[in-house]
Amino acid sequence: MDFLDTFDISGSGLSAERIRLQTIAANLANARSTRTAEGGPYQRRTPLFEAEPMNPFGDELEQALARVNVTDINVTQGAGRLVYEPSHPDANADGYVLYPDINLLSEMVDMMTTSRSYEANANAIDVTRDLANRALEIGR
Amino acid sequence: MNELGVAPNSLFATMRSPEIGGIARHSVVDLPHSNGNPDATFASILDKAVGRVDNLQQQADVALSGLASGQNVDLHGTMIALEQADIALRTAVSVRDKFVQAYEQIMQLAV
Repeated sequence: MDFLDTFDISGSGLSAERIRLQTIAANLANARSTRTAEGGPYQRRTPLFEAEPMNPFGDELEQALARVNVTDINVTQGAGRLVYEPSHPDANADGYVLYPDINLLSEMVDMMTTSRSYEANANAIDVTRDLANRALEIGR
Repeated sequence: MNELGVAPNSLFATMRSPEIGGIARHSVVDLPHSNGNPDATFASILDKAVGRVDNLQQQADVALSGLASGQNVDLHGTMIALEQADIALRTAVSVRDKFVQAYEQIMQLAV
């Protein structure tokens, strides 16, 4: 483990948060999508984060420290929400359209926590760099 | 015995002993690089260190050109590569400064 490995850990956090932001962006963009390739309305996506050891064959410290890895994008199987809109081309026989069950408010809150997590990871990188620079100043 | 209650010889013996107050001292023969390996000369260690710095610089170069040409959209990955290269280079420069300082001190020795 050296200073440069810390960058890898924080970098994996930044990548994971970026993927999380992409899923939120997809959820927001498709909040009113009634058609998908699989049929039915769009389903909400959430990323699955997994802790991954830095080096499973390394020493004890390297086995204990973990990066974060996005293993999968989970597609929730929600029922959707029915809106009465008889003129819509996707309306059923009773005049109801099945819209995705996406709560804009909860997506916005998710986006805020993503933004804060990204900032926290970026801050960890900055602190690592500051510590390295400080160490280089010893004895100067 | 002097007024400190420590005999100078025993003080020197303590300084030469491998442990002072539980802190292990690194002697030259205990360097992890030597291990009795004749290849681990000063020049080869320096060569390896310079090669590592050069490797990180090249990684940063590849990341930067990838970002500029639109292949690599990983913005933070590029910045991290640049930062790693910067720290490695500054470390190498610090070590170089120390060497030059030591060299100059030796050259100023009155013969």
